Amino acid sequence: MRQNQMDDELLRSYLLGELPEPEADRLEQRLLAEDELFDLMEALEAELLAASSRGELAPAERERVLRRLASSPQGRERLALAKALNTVADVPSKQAPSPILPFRRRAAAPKAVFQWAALAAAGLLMVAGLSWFSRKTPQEGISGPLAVHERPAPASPVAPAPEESPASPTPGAQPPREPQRTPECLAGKDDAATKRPEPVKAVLALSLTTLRGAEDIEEFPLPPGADIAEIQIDLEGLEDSGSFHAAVRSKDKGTIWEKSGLKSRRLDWGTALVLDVPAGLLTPGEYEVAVTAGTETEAMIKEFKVVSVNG
Amino acid sequence: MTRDKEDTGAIRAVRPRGLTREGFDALLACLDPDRDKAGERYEMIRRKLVRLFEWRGCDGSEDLADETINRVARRMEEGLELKSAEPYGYFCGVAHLVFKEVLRRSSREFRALESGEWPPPIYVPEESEEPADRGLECLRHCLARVPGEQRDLLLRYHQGDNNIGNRKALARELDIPLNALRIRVHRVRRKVEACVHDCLSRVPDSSR
Repeated sequence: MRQNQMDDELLRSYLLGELPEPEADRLEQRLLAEDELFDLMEALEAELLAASSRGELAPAERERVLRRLASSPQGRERLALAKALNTVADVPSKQAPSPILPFRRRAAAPKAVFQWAALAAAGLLMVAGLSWFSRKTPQEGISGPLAVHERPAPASPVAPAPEESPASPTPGAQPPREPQRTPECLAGKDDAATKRPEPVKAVLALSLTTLRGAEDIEEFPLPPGADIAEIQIDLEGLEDSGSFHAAVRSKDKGTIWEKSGLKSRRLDWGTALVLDVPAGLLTPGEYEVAVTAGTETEAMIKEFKVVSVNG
Repeated sequence: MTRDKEDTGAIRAVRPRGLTREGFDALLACLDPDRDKAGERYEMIRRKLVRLFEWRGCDGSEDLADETINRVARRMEEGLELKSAEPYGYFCGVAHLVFKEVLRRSSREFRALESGEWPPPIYVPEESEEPADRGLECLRHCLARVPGEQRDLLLRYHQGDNNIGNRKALARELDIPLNALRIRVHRVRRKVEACVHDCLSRVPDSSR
């Protein structure tokens, strides 16, 4: 803790331009070499900007913060973001944000503890959010202190080509249901008949952290017209893990889908593992997705529940 | 400064203008034998250099970061060998030289200006100034695109007047040190920031 305080003071002094030159030079070398320290520096910078916009700093300190950190266009943009975050965060919410529980594992494995603990510390927050990617479907079920009106988009808005190394539906799994398409998917294109129609996707963004008070299994409302259930798993902190193995298991039928050699993809909200599971395999019921990174042997597991949606 | 895209495989490292292909290759080879990983390290170093120049109060921090990288790469093309595990010290040394040149240039300009316009006036937002509507719109749009628990974490971190107390309580709740919480929140904020930046660049400013 004392080390943390020392770092805080050091970083704060640097940001405010109060650090003697030799110390600043040494610190900059550490900042280039140590990613965590660099992230902490940016975090403190954001805190100073947020505190400044809240009027929590003494006038002289505020002036220093604005001069040092908000005089460039990028700095002004960060200040505007801090101010906007303060504004949005303070909007009274009907529902208080849920407390957050640390990363939850099914079973501890000594070999993997270090990596996963590091991942947890590195901010591996994987969150469940549900999205039905049909442009006309209303958005519901939003939690948190902010009334937001959009949900994660599919990783690729266009129909994905057949998977390069086909995922293997396990024997016994039901075949995909007959594709049904909304009229808007087929309308408006002169050459629609000659092109492969776009599959309809339902998107599920998953996390392995759990909100306290929200331990219930996440529900995935899968509309009958969906062709692909796109499961997006946040990989923050796991970007360097190379390839991944993922499996979707049904409580009743065991593994219904799995694939190895999966690579991370950059989505508009971050780096994620994207699983395109044929929607027909996901009949209503309880499932879990298990993701194994690199050469690890223990999987991260998240449960979810598929529920049918009428219409 | 315009940067030329250079395909290093999965990672698209961007070669600064003024840097030869050979120099860029030498730099990437020094950073990592695997070209994809080298591309990632290169982009990380560049991003950090940009921020270091910003924190030093420099204008044109991207250009200065590229200038630093160009000089390092040219030295590598000339045969300088670095320990690939720890090239940061060299980058930092060159960055300091570039910074000192900026200081000298600024000092000359200051003397030439001989006016009261230096240092530049501070940006002081009005106390009552509210975030622009489109900024809030973009923020809401971007918050909706991050997973819900990350969004909750970010907003809880920014909630209320007693921020320090709130944050300590949140860290206790998560059973992690305050700095780990800061870093965790910051990584979410960084995603949101990139999204907002992108959103603002696409949404026309109706106030203009």
